[in-house]
Amino acid sequence: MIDFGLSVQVSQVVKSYDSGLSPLKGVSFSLEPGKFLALIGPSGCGKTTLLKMIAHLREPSSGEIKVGKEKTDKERRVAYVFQDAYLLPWRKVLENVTLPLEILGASKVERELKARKALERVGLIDFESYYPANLSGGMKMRVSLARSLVNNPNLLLLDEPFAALDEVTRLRLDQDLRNLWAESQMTVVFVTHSISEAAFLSDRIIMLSTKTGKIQHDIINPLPKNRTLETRALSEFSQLTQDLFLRFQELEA
Amino acid sequence: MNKQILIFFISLLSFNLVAAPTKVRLALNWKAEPEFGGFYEALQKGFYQKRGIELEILPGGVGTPVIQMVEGKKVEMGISNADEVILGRSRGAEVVSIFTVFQTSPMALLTHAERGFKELKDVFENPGTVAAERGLPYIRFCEKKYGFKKVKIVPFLGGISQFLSDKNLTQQGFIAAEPILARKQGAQPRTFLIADSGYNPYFTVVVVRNEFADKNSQLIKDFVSATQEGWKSYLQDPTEANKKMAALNPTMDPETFREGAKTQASLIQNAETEKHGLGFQSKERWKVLADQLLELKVVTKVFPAETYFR
Amino acid sequence: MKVKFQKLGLPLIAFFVITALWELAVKVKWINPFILPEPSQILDSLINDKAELWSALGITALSVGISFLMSVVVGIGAAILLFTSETVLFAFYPYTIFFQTVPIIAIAPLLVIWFGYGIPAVVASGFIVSVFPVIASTLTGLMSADPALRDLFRLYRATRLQAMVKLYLPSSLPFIMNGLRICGGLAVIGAIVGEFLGGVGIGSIIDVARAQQRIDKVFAAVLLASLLGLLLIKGIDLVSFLLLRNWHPSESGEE
Repeated sequence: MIDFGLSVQVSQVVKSYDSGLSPLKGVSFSLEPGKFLALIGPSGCGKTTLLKMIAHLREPSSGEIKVGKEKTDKERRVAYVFQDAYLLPWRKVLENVTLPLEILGASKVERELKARKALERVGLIDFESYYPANLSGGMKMRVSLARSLVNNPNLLLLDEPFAALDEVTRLRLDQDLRNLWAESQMTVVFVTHSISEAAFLSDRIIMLSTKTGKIQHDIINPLPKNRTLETRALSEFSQLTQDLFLRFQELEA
Repeated sequence: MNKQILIFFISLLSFNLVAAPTKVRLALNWKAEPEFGGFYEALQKGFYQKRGIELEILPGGVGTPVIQMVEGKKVEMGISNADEVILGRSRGAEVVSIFTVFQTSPMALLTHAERGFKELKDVFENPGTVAAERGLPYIRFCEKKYGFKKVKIVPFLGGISQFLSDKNLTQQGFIAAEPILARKQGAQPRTFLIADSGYNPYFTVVVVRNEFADKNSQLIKDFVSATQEGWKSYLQDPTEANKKMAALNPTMDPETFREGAKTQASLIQNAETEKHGLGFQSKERWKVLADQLLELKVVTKVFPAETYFR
Repeated sequence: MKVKFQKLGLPLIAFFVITALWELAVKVKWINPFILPEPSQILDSLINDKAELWSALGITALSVGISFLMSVVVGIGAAILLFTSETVLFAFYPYTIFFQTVPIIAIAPLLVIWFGYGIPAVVASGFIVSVFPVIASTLTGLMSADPALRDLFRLYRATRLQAMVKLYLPSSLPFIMNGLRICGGLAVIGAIVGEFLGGVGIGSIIDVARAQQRIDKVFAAVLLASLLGLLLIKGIDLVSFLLLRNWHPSESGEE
């Protein structure tokens, strides 16, 4: 059976800047297709930079990143969700979601069909004619999510997308994201500051250290595959978050 | 001791009795050029000073609003032309002319000699372009007398660039300036005096406010006599004043100053100035001009001729 | 409702009060009528000279319209060109500043010689004076496109044309609108200065009336020129409102 999601291979990636700053000093890991990876670490550890390099928006100073190497170029569909929704303010919600398909050259009929499907998946189908200025922060982020899903990506990269939202919205969106992943079998790499979010969402957690610029911990998430609100109440959940918290503290020491 | 105190007080008194020189500002309506030569000559040779007048000459340029400056008391005296005086008076500016430099107006039209014009009316009877300041009364006069059906009137941009750039162009100018400049640039101008058309206002006149003339009649007399002396001296030998003016106005070289002074001499003197002195103005000339302007509808009302000048 | 009164009523009241005081000041000779005419005289000129004034205004309006449109098209086009290639930007941007700083009064006679009297020289004058704000503001706008959105477009491998049309140009609209307001005002000024020497339009009337010492007519002409400028700017405001009202805080009235 052919996997839907893309594999991600990061080999000896180093990133250094002319200023002398070098957040990544040799990161390597291999991510299987369809897995949900959470990348965590203190500020400045280079997790956003790493994510952008996986998206090929930035280049490593040395080392290599291979995404979906067994697939053809056409079959690789990478989507990226930023920290802010970054919607085009002059377009309505529907036209924001169709943007990627527009660029790729799909017909109007096809674009709008897929966009409406994506909006349904995030629960915003009633708002397709709204302008971003009239949406709440959480709604804007959901539109951004819908946009990222519109061309059926097999690798989804997210950079602390829910950090600016209130807690209730955040919990809800965490759930939505996990459900979306379960439906599609795409590979997900999720950067976050929140330990409980990483624990809830991921199959695997990689922790980066600012001091070493390398992977400090690489942990398989022991929680059951099906995650719901109840999962957060499990004792295994608090054990996991405590464990992660302690390891995190070690890094900062 | 008492004698010294007495002398001290007498000198204080005489200091008050001896009048401090009167400050007078004269605003020109153009840069320093031969048409103002007599004023600069009189200033340089001290003719104003010896009559107790401390004169300051303020050169002007394009569109200097001399009548407004005089009327608004920004300056005591200004240079204008007789037609502008009549215009200003009709709008309520209470000014009078006390001296005229030119007996014959030096306004002229320059044409290219190769067009073979023989008199002023030829300019308007042959197709071509005429560059002139369209707001000036002389243009209205020419329109009425000759008609503009064959010519296109365009704005005068100053200088002689328009003349040099187009062989079919006629432009306005001063007989003592633009033609000389044009010849220096290799052109061959044939110049016609506007005065030949019958429109001949006194030109480069000194204007003051009516009230000022009433209150300072002796000053006016002194100013006029100093100016006459200056012009007499300049007509005899313009070299000194030309040097001074050339320093103030680098757009004309000394040779052009010399030529200009020579050319304009015949327009400054005539039979009347022989009889009455330089700067003389007659009631008849003012009346003719006022009637002309009235007929052209440039003004809607005129005053008795003698009220325009002193 | 109160705001409407304030916006319309207060300026009108101010206008009447100032005009009345002005008229009075001239009537009692506190201001010399020869230097500053009464408002009633200016009104008389507007009525008596109306045929001449309005036909001249029409010519000026035409020249302003053409030079404004030229500035918009050339200005935006030049900015896009400068933005697209860094080589072009470094090579030519310093020279565009020439358009901003050249004293138009000084080169206006040259414009007449190169382009001929009348509307061509006037349009040239208006264009030269008003094009730079459009280039500068459009360029700023293009450069202000959100870097994250640029990443987004790169992610989907958008072509440069796609990015220009879908991202950069829409981003720069608010900036362009601001530039157009400045451009409009300058186009009117540039046209009138050109008309002093070009011999047509409102500028020509001002020039001739000044020589004729018809200060009342000068003021009447200046007033009409200002109204023309006002009309143009209000037109730009309307376009700005229509284009930006759904999404830009400047027009959507957000706090």
